[in-house]
Amino acid sequence: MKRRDFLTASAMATAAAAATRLAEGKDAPAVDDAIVAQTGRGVSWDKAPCRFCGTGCHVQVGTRDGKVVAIAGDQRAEVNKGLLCVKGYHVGLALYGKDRLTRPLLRKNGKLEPISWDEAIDVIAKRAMADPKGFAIYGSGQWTITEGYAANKIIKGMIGNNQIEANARLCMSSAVTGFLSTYGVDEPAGCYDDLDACNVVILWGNNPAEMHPVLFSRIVDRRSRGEKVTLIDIGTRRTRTTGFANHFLQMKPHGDLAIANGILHLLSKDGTYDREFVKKHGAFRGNTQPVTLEGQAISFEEFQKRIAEYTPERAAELSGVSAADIRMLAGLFAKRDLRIVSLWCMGMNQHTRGTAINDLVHGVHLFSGHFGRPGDAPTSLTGQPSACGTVREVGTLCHSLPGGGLVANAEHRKEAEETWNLPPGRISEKPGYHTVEMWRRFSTPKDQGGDITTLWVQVTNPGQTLPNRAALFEASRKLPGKFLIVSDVYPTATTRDADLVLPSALWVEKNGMFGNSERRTQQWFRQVKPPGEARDDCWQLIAVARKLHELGHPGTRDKDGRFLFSMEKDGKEVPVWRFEHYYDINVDERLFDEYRRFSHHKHKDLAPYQEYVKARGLRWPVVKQPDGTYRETRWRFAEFDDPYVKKGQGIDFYHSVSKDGRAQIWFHPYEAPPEPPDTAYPFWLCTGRVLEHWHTGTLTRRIPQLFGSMPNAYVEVHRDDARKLGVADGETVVIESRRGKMLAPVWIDGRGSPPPGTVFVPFFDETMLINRVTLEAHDPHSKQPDYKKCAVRLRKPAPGEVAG
Amino acid sequence: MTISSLVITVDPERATELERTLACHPELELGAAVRNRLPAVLVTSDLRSSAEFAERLGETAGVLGVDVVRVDLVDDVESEGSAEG
Repeated sequence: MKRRDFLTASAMATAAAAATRLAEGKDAPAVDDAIVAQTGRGVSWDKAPCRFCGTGCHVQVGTRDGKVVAIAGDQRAEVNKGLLCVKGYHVGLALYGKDRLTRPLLRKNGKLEPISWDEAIDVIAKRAMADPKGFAIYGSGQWTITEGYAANKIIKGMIGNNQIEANARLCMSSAVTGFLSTYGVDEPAGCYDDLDACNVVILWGNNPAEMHPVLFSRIVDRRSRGEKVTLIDIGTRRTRTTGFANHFLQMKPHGDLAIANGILHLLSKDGTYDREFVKKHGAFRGNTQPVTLEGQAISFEEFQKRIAEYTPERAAELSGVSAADIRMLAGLFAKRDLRIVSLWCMGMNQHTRGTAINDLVHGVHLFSGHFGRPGDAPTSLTGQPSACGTVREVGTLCHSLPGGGLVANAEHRKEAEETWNLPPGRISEKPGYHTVEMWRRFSTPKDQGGDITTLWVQVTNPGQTLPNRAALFEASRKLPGKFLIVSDVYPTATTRDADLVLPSALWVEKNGMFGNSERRTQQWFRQVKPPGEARDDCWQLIAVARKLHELGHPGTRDKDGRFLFSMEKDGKEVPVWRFEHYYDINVDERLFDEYRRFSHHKHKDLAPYQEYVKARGLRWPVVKQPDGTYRETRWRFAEFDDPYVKKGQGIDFYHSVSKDGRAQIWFHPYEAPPEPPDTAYPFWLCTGRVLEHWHTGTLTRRIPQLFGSMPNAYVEVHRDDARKLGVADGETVVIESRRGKMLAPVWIDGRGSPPPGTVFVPFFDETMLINRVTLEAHDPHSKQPDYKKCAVRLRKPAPGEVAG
Repeated sequence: MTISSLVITVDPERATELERTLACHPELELGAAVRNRLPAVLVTSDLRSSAEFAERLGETAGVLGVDVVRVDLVDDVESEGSAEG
């Protein structure tokens, strides 16, 4: 058989198996045989979760001669069932941009110059020794679980200042505070299986056709099989998703608060709420003054009194959505025989009332009893592959400890100190600074309160993502005594201004574990080596910890005097801090099996590492069975699936805020956005993403096919506004706020369609930094900034005008 | 050369007509349909052509959707690099 014929036959076997599975809804075992058949020509295949979004698709990675040469959707993965999106099937090319960072670089006389790893590690350790209180780490939801765990252990168990944050603060911390204030424990109760069982999907400011395309195709595929799934898109602009929706409800910015209150009002007034569910499982809660995340219990009567104001007409006035459409939504929730999924991502989270709108959407589901059955679930999605697994579960935020613990909680600190074998009192009870505050302190002179002096960034690009770039990022670059370290794989808007740049391994160039949006923990092995001197982020952290140990930092020792990252094999210590020995043992397995000891106290049980080697991810709690096997949990708090709900209870919110097994149904009033348009800045600015690019584009803009499809950012402008401004499609305009400006070409009737008075700019393009313009105002509880709404003006540029 | 495995979801009422239309594309090899899911293999000179073809396919009357389930990247990895240089 000719090689081409062999490959074509193999490809057809893959397609036929996928077609069978999509048509019949069942597994097609032959497909993996087809993939394995290719190993005959020297290609080795292994599993890995996709590197990009929080969906958590699994791919099969084909490698030959030390390079990734093929990517296939993993047929055995429940998440994506063999399908991939346009980013996923190009993920292998993310490794092979021509400008990979391959050597450590230190700024000398204003220029980044190559240095050795030994020197780089020494520089970092000496900065930490000189000012341990001012040393901070800033990571992301792209950290693997074990990278985040190592960073957390260094900051909280070793340095002891709790100055660790992650960019997930910028994308999903309002979802966290919403889950905590409603259920007392973070992360969705449901899972992706709900998408297969629901009758109605409500998208709250969400565009999954571009941001989570594989999940979206799961819904659309049901329609193509003849099933009826009603799709309701609530948003401030039309997107690709809108084209598939049965109803598009165009709202004003912050209108979601009014819509949710309008639904609650109607359910209450009409008596169509689920009395039995509320009686057994619900409690009512309202705000205190000053506001706290816990609020205070209120009676049902008080709740009714507060919600009475939100008649459909009042909600319509505030939201811009018609009273008839608000009645339509309430009518759907009033029907018990329907199964309703609410989905959201940045639209509800990047919101100065993010916690409130999260609470309200949970409240609509709880009040109407649309909870705890397959297909009935309020479910947040994440944008990064391990925002849940690393940031939320490992707790790489300034107030958290692994497994859902809090640094302010004495019991949680005690547990962490025991697990890490630390002397009592090592972990500080004082939270560090949240992201905006951490960067503000880094950008403020030390004698004026700027007490963060060294900031080590890993796997993220704050130069392109922090709001109000001039104030929170650029300011530090002009201050003496402020030192910025960046570990990354490519030059970025952040490395360009760094004092020290460290070249990192990417994705299958290292062992790793991610946790996706549905509580699924995933594992993969290193499959190719990184280029040049690029090294694992986890190794970089351990190497710095070891250098601190050698320099005599007392925090590097446990209470028996042992190095905190000491690892043994056959009774001998393995010097994993030396890169040539890093893969002598599986460091990921050692760290994960240590970390999973934290996972029990909030019932987020994780299985031993080796269980994940066998699986395409497992959803926690993963509980050991009498026969020694491990069973994942698809639906939490529901007796039929959650092992922590006792027989006969039906539903039990076992981390209830009110300590009585009940979830909280909150009242939060509507509040206007912080910076509405005015005569000087007459447009709303919304920012977001596009299908082809992932986050700041540092990976996807180096993939020729994706770059070619969408090379640069743009500003979507309504045709009427463009006419009034006298600008044509494609013409460059200045987008300017009170904080800064950027230039971009106008796109009329483009990918999305904003209404008159609103413009949209994607943030993937490092040549057009919209974070010069965005606002740092943030939610009082989650501290998550609002990137979806601030006031801007548009004008034609002056000759030679540039961004700034 | 790029070889892509596709599943084309077709409008059942136009399946026969559509299969005839699709069979005219020399780059496309069709398999046996399973209900309204038509497996296919697309062979193009490079990945960009593959992506463009799949997008055009999705816009064909009677095609409800195109899922790309696997792409062999062998030639592209060896010949392509950074878009930005």
